[in-house]
Amino acid sequence: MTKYFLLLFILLPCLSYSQTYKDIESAIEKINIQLVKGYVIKNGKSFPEEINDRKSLYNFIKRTYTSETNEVHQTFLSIEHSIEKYEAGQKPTEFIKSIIDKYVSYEYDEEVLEEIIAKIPVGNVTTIKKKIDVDIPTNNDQIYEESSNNIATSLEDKKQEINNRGAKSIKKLADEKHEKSNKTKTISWLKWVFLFVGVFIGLSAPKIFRCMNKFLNNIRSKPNSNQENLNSTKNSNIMDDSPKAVITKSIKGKSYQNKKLNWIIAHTSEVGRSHLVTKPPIPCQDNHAVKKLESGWGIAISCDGAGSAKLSHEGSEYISKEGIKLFEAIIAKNDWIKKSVFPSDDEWEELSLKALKKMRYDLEQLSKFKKVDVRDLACTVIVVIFSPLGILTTHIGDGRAGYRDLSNTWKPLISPHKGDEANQTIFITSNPWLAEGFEMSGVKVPESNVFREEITAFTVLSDGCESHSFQLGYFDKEQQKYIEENKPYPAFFEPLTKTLVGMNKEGLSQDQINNKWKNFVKQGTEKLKNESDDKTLILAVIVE
Amino acid sequence: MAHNDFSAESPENFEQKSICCFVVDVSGSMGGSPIDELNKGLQEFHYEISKDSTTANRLEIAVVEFGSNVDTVAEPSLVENLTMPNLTTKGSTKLVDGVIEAIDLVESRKAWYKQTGQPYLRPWVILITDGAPDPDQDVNGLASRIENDTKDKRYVFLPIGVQGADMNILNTIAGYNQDNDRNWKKMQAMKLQGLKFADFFKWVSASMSIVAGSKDGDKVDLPDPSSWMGGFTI
Repeated sequence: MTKYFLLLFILLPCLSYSQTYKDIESAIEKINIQLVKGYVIKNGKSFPEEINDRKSLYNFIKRTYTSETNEVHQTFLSIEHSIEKYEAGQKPTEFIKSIIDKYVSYEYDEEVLEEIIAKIPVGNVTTIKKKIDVDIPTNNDQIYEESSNNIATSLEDKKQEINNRGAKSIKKLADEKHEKSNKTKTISWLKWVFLFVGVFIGLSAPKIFRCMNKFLNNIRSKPNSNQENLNSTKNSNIMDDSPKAVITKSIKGKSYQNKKLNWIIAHTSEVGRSHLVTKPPIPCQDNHAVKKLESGWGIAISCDGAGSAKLSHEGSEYISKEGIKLFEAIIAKNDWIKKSVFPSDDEWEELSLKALKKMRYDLEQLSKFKKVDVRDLACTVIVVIFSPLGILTTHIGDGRAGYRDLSNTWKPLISPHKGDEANQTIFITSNPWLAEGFEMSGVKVPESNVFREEITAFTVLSDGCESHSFQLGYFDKEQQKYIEENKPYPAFFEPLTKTLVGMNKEGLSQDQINNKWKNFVKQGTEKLKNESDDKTLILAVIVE
Repeated sequence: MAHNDFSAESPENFEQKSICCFVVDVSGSMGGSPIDELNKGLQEFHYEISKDSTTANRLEIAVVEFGSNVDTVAEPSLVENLTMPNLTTKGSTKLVDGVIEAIDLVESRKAWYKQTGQPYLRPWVILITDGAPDPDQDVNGLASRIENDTKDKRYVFLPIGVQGADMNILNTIAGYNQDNDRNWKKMQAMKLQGLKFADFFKWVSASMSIVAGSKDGDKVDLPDPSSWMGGFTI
């Protein structure tokens, strides 16, 4: 008897945690509606009366404040994401007030919000802290996975599920209380198993609620059935069955499998002139990382720190290094190199999105550790995975990348994300891209692509180098219009790749090549010398 | 070249544009050496910009003068198409009207960039005055407009006081800038040391090329102005 009561005693607080969570969610939904309503009315417009939940509110916001940097849009997303940071034991009213203080950047009616907050049930300020939860491995990016999957609805649905589950186990326990003791030993053993499961779920209700994620198995260290589905049968038929195979060239990469592919890569990041004339001088905010893997595979990453962010040089350094580790792990776990396969377009889009979210989450942890705002570490990121099969790309922000195909034609790999003003862009620390389907200047953020063709050279650069190496556009005087372009300039890249190949033939070491490369990027042309922005330039060419 | 060094050719790219509008006080009090020095300074500025081929292709310049009337004496154009006007003094100080004309000018130029799809950087409006505005000028109205516009990141506004200028008025209408902690702070108006227009315009031309380098522009990292600026700190 007593053991049942004991279990109830433990389970109830967990349920009350989820009830408190539900109350907070509901209060925030009302608060968000009031915030946006106040803003709209203040600007002399009308607020549709039928908006009564977060889903309709979010649709309204997307329609009315489409701009990615709009404060209403940003504030709404920031508040919604921060709900999940609620910890058992925190006072709901204090928690909500801290969120409002932190994220609302425009004027609002305090009284109205106070009213809503006052109505939150005080609830059981539970004594169960997170640490007591059952040992479920920390899945960091699930926070973003959770919020990205249609934040307006899935939160509600998933919480319902958990609450039901909790309620069921309580009910079953209550029923079993009444069973007579003349049960057989087998049945009482089963009861114990069931009780154990019930306790497990009850104790970890808060954690499960935050950690439910079936997709994460793709990049976790333990192999499981989901991973199998991703790798085996799908990918091996990818070229034959997928519709894209009809359009793109067939994988000639198979011819590469027997050749020994060798990449020669020159890479550097140099500080821009403008950083040197300020007081005090600003460090180079560009960073990059390159790693060759086996069989002609490898990863190249370029990160450009935000000029206005005081620690963005640390942010860009962190992201470029962590990116290499993370994508190396993805390649290994999916066994692409050994099996010589590429993911499908959808698979790559999913994988790269998760990876970028994880990198962003880790950067946030770093900012907490350093006790700074994560925006102080803001930077862009371009990731290129190169191989005999072709190239995988994903990026957030500006900068450029290009490749040379078998016909010796240079083509672009990415379309930079640009804002209204010529030097505006989006960063990995920005909130808007966490909502799926976000676009900037007509380009998805993040933008992920798979190029399934043999390449003979590629390049990745930050925007400080773009006007020197890419054709960016021209002014059509007849039409009185500026026509945008995104073409790697062959007269820039061809001489450089030839020199690279030659240097390798002459037996120059990687260090010697990089030193000459640094010199070139610093002052190789008059324009490069006078370039005010930081410059990152990575150039890779195949030698056999 | 031998395989000893890297070399390459760069494409001719259409430079992203930026408009800088000077709004200049030509009231009677500027007569004599002030206006002479100012004219010399403007010519210097024109020369400095023309020398730097990158900035010469990026920077559009306009000049609005105000005395008893407001006049746009140079429409927005690249240096190669611009002859710096020679300013002469006349009348009183319609400062607010002058600044408003300059703001409208840069806003419509920006709209033209947008309409033709040209990439552009944030415009600058630089006010140069030596006195106090006429009593009928709505200084507070201008101050709140500039506060809203600079917080909206529409343009950068720099008020410069020449000797004898009423710095209080200039501080009232100064624009807002975000500091490293993302707090909005009102900028301090800057005072010219004596009549060091030449140094001032050198600094402006250096700043123009740096504006192009700053990412997302909400913090303007200006070069050291101590060669021409006296008394106040930025």
